[in-house]
Amino acid sequence: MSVAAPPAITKPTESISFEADLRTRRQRRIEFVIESLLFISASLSVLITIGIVGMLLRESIPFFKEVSLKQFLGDTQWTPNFADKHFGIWPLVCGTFVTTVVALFVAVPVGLISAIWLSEYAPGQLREIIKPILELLAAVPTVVYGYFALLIVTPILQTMLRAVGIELPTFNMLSAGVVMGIMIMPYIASLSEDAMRAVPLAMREGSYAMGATRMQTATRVIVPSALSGLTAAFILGVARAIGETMIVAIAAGGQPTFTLNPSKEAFTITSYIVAISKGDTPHGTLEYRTIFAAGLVLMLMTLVFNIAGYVIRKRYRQAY
Amino acid sequence: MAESKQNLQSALALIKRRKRIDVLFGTTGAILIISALSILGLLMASLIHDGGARLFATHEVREDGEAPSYRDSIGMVRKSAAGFEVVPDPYILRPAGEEIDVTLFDGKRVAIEGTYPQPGRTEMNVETLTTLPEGVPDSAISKETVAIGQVQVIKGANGKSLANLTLEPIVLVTDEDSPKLEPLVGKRSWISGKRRFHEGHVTVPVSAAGQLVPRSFLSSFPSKDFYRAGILPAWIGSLLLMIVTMVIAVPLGIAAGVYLEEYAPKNRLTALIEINIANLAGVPSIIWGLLGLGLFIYTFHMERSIFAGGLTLGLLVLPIVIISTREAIRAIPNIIREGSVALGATKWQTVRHHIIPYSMGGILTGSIIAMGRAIGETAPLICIGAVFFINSLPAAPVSYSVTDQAETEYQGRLAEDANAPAPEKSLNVQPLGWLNSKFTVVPIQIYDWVSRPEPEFHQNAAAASILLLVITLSLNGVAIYLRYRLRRKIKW
Repeated sequence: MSVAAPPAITKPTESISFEADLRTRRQRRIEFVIESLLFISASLSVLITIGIVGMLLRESIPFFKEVSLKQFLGDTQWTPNFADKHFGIWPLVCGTFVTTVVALFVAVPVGLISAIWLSEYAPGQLREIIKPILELLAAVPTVVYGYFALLIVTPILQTMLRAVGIELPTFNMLSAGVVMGIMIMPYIASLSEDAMRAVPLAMREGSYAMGATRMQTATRVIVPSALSGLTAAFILGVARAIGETMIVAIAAGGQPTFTLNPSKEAFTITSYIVAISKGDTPHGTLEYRTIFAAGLVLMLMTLVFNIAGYVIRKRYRQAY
Repeated sequence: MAESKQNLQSALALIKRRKRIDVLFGTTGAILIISALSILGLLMASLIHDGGARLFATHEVREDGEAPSYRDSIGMVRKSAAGFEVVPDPYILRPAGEEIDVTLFDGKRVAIEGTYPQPGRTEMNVETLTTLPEGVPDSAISKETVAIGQVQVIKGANGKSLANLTLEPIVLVTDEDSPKLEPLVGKRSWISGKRRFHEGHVTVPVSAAGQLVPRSFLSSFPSKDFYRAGILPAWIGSLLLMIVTMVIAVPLGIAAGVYLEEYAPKNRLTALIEINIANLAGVPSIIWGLLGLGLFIYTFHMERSIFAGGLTLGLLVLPIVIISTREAIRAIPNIIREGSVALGATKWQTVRHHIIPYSMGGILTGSIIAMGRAIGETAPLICIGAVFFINSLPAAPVSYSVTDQAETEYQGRLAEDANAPAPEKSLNVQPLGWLNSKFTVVPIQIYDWVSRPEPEFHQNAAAASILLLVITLSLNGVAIYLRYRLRRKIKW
């Protein structure tokens, strides 16, 4: 009996490499092209950052050639559009600072206590209902918050303060700050609650086993353990408040006053940029370049806070 | 013995006090969070209170879109024994001077000299008010009478008396040059002509007339009159801008997310890309506006158009799409990938046929959230150059109008001959012409109206805010719901 010859190996239509890789050359080419396209899309983010930094520098460097750094950081008046020009950045930074502080005064206590309540006290079902509503609060467009600040919160605050003898002007940093706080509160509450829930159950149970009440557990065990996450939440809130534009543009008015008094009207860095962009400042002039210089300062501040948040989160993260 | 009882007492008291503090803290937390959430309800309630009426109000314009003048007579046209007459709307009388006491004329028929109200208002300025019982001869009545009607005095909201005037029909006098009034019978119309008293009635010699068509808030252009101002160009601008933003952000975001999760090696370049994306997510929105202004408008020399705005917003929301794509892909267990590769699939085949379809839910959720964020953005668009007052819509893809080519030919002919015939309208197909148009968006319109001192414009701002809020909250609500459903549906 003869053994049938083994079937002939049919030649493939395209070449196969002798490596373990069985893919055809064409297939490999397609794979390479696709991976390159995907890589380009991903590295676009680096290009965007370079674009932002480049843009800010390109307009700020001519600005700083004309306005010395000493003038910029030393002067306490900001009047680029008046006949007597001053270019001190402090009024704008001060406006940003005051509104941010007011916002944090509102957002941090409310946000933190709400987060503690959500993570320790709230029954599970209620928590699932409240968290989405908090997210909706964060999703309200800031122009609508601006309307709220100017037309609803300002009259209420005026009535309240008139009862103690203080006259609040229509445009003031207090209403803007309060409404900004309402806007930031969901971010702080949500991030703090995530940080607190990340604390392992064992620590909670240990605390309860020792006879602690919920409040004692929360304040003496959970919050200290979640401190890095809470700080990160706080810093994120600050960064968000610094960059907020429309609420202050609508409710805090347009005077570059240099004051720590929240009942006055003031520019922040962001509302100044909006005010100039709205107007007719021609391209290439010094006044036009001021918005880029202000933007540079804003970008640096935001960067510092973002880096601080990242470092704190990394260094102080508790190993559970 | 007594000591241990005392210890027990103090221990119980301590426990009771701690429990009270605990409950107090819990109630405080609950109250705080309920009040924070109710701020959202307070906001919506006050918006609806201020702007709800304006959102659904209609006003009337002539057929060509222009507002009727206050000199026009406005009302329902009907046929009378002598011809045509128009029945005007009732008005509130406002005496021009202190001497006129409207309460004396309650229930009486009067002849009025004065001015009709501006369209959109209901108060008639009254200079003289004369009682006019039946049978008074014509000669006794001033020729300058503009209105005859019945007065009714009612108590206004603040205790003051208001005089309502129900006008008698105005007789329309036509001649050979007057437009035909027959088609206007039974319709609300505007009649142009000077009102005069003649033969016992107020008459109007008709010089022009036409029908009034209603316009709503959503179908009107902005205007300096508050009752006529609408958000038509704003919501169309928002819609077109969203299309461009999503077309830019979603494909790029998915591609970047897929690369970072599936293809990227763990080296420093990848770490740099990831740091950059995290950084860009935190950049304030106005910096994006400066980027758009400096780079797109002044370096690339783009127009201040929908395309430039869409490009800027697309880059703004790109990090959101990337991050949600990555999270969606990360949720897919490795079993799927391993099974696919075990069957001999290449990397791209695995991604295309398994990873992307399974992560579509999360990607969709992220895109909806990105869209909700982009629709509410104001500051970057102000920097880019979105206008605050626009009277036209972006060019429609297919329209019957003068093409650019015809326009340039006309300009050429005009240089040689000042009497060159006007360019003709024809079928004008420019599918992407709208990308180059000036635009405005709803949040900018709100900002513009809120910044005005007149309270009526604040009502307009409230109405537009209701619209914006409903759209934004619906988008976010849908995204939250989708995320909830996806989490429950996990089968692996």
